[in-house]
Amino acid sequence: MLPLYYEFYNPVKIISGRKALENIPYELGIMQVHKPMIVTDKGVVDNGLLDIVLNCMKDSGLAIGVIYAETPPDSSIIAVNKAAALFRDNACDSIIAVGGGSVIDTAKGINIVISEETDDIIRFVGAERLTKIQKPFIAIPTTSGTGSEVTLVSVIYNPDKNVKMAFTSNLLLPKVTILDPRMTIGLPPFLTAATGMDALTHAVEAYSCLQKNPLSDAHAIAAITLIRDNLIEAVKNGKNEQARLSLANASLFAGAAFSNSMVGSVHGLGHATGAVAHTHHGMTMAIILPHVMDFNLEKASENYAALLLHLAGEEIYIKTPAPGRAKKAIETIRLMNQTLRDICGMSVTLSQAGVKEDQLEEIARKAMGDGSMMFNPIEMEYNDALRVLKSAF
Amino acid sequence: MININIKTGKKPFKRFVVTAGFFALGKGMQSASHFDKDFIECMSGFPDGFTFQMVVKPNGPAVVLRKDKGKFYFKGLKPLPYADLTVNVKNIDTAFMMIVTLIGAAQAFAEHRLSVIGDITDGLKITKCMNIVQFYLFPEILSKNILMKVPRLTFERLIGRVRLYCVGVLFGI
Repeated sequence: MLPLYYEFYNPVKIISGRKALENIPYELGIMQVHKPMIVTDKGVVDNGLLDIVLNCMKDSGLAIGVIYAETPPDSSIIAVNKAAALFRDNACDSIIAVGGGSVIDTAKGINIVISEETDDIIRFVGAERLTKIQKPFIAIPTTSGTGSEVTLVSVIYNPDKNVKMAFTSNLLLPKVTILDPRMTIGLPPFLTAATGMDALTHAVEAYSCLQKNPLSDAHAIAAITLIRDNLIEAVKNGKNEQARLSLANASLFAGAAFSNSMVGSVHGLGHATGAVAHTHHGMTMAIILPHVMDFNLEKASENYAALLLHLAGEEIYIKTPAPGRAKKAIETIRLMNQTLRDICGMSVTLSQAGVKEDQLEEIARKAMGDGSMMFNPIEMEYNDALRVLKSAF
Repeated sequence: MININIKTGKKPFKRFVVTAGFFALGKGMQSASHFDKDFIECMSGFPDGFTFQMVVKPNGPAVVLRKDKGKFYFKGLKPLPYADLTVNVKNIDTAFMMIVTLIGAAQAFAEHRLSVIGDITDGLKITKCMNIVQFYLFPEILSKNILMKVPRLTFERLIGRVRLYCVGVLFGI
């Protein structure tokens, strides 16, 4: 049913496919910039991915202003400030981020510091604090999960206060994002599984949260179908370019979906679990997702039932009587988790993931302060959260 | 026909309702910060001096509150140039729908009818505070339209509702 009101915003130019990276010089030319800074991390360099990007820029006449390859696993304000100083010192005019969520978030942070002409990024923490048009920015994801290449948020760690700070603004969106199968082909099986389930969680929550709308639904469904058809194959056979490209697209579609329709309690609980127990984000999402779906059944059963078609395919959808489809959708996700556990050892319970039972109360308390909780189809209070966490334990 | 310099007119009824509603909301939040334990717990994370405003764009009105000595104080209907947390309501019609309980704050946030300037976690806490006051202000038949979960009306909350109606929305106590 069409909602009475919705907004959808995604101005990012998306370039996807084989040899897509070769378009970088052309896109920089359209944006009339000539001296980009490349932001990346050690893993990308060690795996030869940066060399692929640099090779694609040969014969273009462009100069790379500076390459910053010291992005930490959790983007931090120290890294952002250091990289922003390099951007200024080398008179760069644009940013290319090559990496996962942390690298792309760091690039967004650098863009804030440069474009807002500040030395103190903390002044801009929170929503809609930015006022200046940002520098041209190209995102090249090397994982398939966060969707950061099409989201308006940057999460940056503040080591002084031991907190992750969120910066959100439409101005933060990249101008261009490039999906090339060469960028994710070497992702190990566990990371492929965990980031793929992260993308699936984005899509399922986008399809069932308060501001679902026809455009976010279309993105979410496309993402779920691609994940259903390609995740297990990509985990088993990482060299399958088509599966890799499909997952990169799924991650992007899911990112565009949740960036507009919001995510709910899976993310609220998942963020808190990561903060307290330092579990892998994507894996945590995968573990918690079916349990929150169980909790949401009362209000979201119609949406979950519709998702069964895309999660399990036509045959299972038709064979399942209508009243049982929502539960079958949850069961299908549990089955995917179990299959991934069998193939690559991904945990399917919080205890397997290293969470201690005495941490559950702290996680539930922390989750109550997470912005995602507000957009869940059913309000989740502390006791509800604790119950869900215990069932996932 | 070519007309030039067209005046876009006004919406005096909606503006009046929203202004009155914001006054009741502001005084109600001030009042609840003195007696409701859930409200007090929600706002406990804000430091003294914390300012919050909800502003109807582009020309107001606004509801402005400031925390002092652990309590919220209603500071009027005129927007401040800067507040620690600003919730912008994109137009007077959305504000009207919120005031007459056609749409709740969570739904309005989700639909991007509101935009937050400031810390998103603070925005979540303020939404919970507003939900508590709206529960006191409106009977269940209306509050169920805007609250995801309507709390049970205990004797303590009934006393709070009476207090809010009798003195809270007028004097903020």
